[in-house]
Amino acid sequence: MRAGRAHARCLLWYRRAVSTTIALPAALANDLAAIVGSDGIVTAPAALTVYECDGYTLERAVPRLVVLPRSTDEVARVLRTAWQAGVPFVPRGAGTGLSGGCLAAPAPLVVCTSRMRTIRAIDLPNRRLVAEAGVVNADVSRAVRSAGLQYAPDPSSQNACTIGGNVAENSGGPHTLKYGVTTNHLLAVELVLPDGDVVPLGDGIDDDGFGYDLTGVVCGAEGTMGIVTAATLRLVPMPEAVITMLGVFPTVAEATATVSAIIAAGIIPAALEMMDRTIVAAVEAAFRVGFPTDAGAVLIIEIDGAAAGLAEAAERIESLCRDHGASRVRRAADDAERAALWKGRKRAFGAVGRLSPSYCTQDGVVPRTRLPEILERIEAAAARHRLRIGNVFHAGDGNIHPIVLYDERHPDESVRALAAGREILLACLELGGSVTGEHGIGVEKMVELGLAFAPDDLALMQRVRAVFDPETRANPGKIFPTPGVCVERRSPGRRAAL
Amino acid sequence: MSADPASIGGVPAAVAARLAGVADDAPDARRALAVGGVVPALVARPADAGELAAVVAEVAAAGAALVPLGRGAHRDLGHPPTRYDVALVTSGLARVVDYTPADMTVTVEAGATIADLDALLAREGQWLSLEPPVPATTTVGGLLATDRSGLLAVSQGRIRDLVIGIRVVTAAGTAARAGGRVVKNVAGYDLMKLVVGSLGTLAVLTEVTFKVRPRPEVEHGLLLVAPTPAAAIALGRAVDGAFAVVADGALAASTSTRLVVRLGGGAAEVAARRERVMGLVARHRSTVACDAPAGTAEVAECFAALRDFPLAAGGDLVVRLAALPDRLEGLVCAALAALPDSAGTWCADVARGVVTIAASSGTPGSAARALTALVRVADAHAAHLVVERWPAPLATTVTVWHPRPLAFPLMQRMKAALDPAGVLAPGRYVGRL
Repeated sequence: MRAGRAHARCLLWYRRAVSTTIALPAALANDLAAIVGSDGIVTAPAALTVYECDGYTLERAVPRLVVLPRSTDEVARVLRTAWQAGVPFVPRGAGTGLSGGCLAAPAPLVVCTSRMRTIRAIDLPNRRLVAEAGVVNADVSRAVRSAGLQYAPDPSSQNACTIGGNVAENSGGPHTLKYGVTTNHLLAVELVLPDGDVVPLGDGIDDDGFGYDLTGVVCGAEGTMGIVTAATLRLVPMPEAVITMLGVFPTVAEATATVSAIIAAGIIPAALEMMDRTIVAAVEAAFRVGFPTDAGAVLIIEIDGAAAGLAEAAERIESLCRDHGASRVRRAADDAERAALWKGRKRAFGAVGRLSPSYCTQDGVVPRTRLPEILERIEAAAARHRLRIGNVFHAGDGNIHPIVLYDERHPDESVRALAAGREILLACLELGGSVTGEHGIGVEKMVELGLAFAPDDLALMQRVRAVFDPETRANPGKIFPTPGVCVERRSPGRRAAL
Repeated sequence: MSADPASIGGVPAAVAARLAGVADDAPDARRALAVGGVVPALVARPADAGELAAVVAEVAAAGAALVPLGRGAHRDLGHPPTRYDVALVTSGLARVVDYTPADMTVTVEAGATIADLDALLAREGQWLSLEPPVPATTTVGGLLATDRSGLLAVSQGRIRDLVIGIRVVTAAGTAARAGGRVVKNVAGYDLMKLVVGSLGTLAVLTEVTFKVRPRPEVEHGLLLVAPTPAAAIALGRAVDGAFAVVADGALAASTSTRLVVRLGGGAAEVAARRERVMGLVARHRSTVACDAPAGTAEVAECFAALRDFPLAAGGDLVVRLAALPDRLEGLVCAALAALPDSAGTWCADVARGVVTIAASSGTPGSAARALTALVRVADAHAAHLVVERWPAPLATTVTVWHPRPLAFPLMQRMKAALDPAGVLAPGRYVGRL
């Protein structure tokens, strides 16, 4: 009820937010070009459209100006200049975000860290690496692989997304169940405040309670506290051994029960990923990775760690799968088979494109034990809105990604798809969960954040934001629901996703 | 600071009138809750979060100040409060709000003790994979406030990694929350990080949700003896994949030193790791003093003593130093050399690069000389230094956290933003925030 009223109050076109874009002083482009060089600035309309959105495509706003600094010093001078000109800015990495966090509205200036690609230091004895914001996630692990180390957070966009963006979004990935998310691997950051001050938060020493944990606060703040220009990352040893299994189940319910049984047995897999019949069929049609298309659900289960005892753990998992109705359990025989299984999982979204002209992915979380209920609610939402919804999700974390299939050429279908997605998020809240597990609030879920938290909770968060950004210059118009800037969405927004 | 409540002024009387029912001013109760030698005028014991919020609101409205306390076990940490009218005791908030073992999350009120929480989880074969000192008198709120993660942090994560949701009362007496009860959640700011380790200076915790884990199938202890502190640390640095690696010894640089390796996991994994450690022992000129499951009396006592070391070690001066892990050997050797005449013990978390030194200094004067020497050692190794215990109520000349963090101006702004009137534990934290 409360949700319905809140949405009813939010009946403004998103274009309105775009049209209220703050003006840019004429001299600013020249002033910024003097700092970053003429090749570090984008002003041509055609070139600017590249920056009109991230992976969340419903809302688009072409920035007026994009700046590409090469160093922390350049970021600092850019922000100082913008500060003096009274111009707010939007930080951006590779633009792979999934909630519109780097939408160039209402702020017209995008500061893109993609040219800051230096790994400043690799400290193998202490298992630390200092990466600039524009370093691509996968390049961190690549840089230390020969030493037997890796950077654990592995979002599926890891070949494109940057460390700066990972810090802003507190990114996860399929292996968060065992290894945690970005914040658990972040020892310090270098932050440029909106007025251009450069502040090192933390010094890389892994100490208890040595001043407020500002690094932890900035991580996941979606660029609303300034621009993170470098991060000190924790490296972990690569596991000695990995076993990847595929469990095939007649129904989603049986697969879900298996997930609970594995956890109850005291095993924490590195990954526990589920796909339902709709997704399995799409993946198999697209890639022929060997998923049985008559299955109600498949589970990808990966365990890793010390070689000793791993095979026994795999046997336990296999017998738990069979006990819970698995028709087949297959173990990847080698790296190639493992890669094929993961290819099927990671490309599930692309495969869905074959089933439906349009689709959108939601990101919600429920306590693991409520997975059966949320899946029923998703099915009910699909029936009520006469839509197909496929499910692919991080089952171990309770992090669901329902994929709503629709046809955007039929406006009525778009509206129904949107309504179904919203219902699913509200069901997540009702079941004690969250409206986003890893994609962030951005512009997409500002209304939903207002449903998840009380005004006093959000007021406290905004007081914390003001410590870093008293004038609301860093990524304004994101995260916090602002009365009057709500958005009426007429179609769901997401194609790319994880 | 005067211990005489009358010197605190007339404000507490006004507060007291409004707090009748949850607060008392019995001298014994007040004296028992002194912090840094400062005795509060009132002791408030709210029974639930609503009462607690009302107390904070009253104290704030009266322009007074409070210090939140659980059982008070950790209150030696930090500067004396610059003002302390009301001891806000949270031990009445000790309920288990939610525990669904299959979700591996537990929500408890801030006044619950770690020992009670451990017992609850153990019944389901789970544990909060933190072992803070003195669990029987450490409350959940005290654990978060002091950020004493314990020796398992290197393998199991710190407190900041295991807290997924909080409820707090702000300095104005308003209830607020952040995070939630799910293990993966990026909705809203991560205010959990801000509260952990803030020593009660930003908000009063009322409820915490933790991630918990299945208890490892097998735990094992290896108690090794190395000829010198340097050899023990070098051996410890060679051990990988342990739950904890701890060196400890006496404050005499030449003595042999113990290295405790704690292993955990599946039986086969633990056996394989044990073999590997045994292979390292001879190469590091060390010997095995004990090799037994964690439940064995000798091992269990050793683990408990190491866990409690920061609070239970003898001596009137306790100083903690933290550096990059590969600097630990040099740091420990320099620290021992800097305290040639001191009696006492030290204990180092080898994998994290942290060493805690407990010495008998005798007088604040000799403690000050020892501290000066240790500050020099810390600076030479780019280490953090924290004074965790001092022979007397802390003098204003003692800096508890050294050096001052580079982001200190932002920390000042944070304190000013969340507690502008200085209601919450004023003056207690880094740089007297």
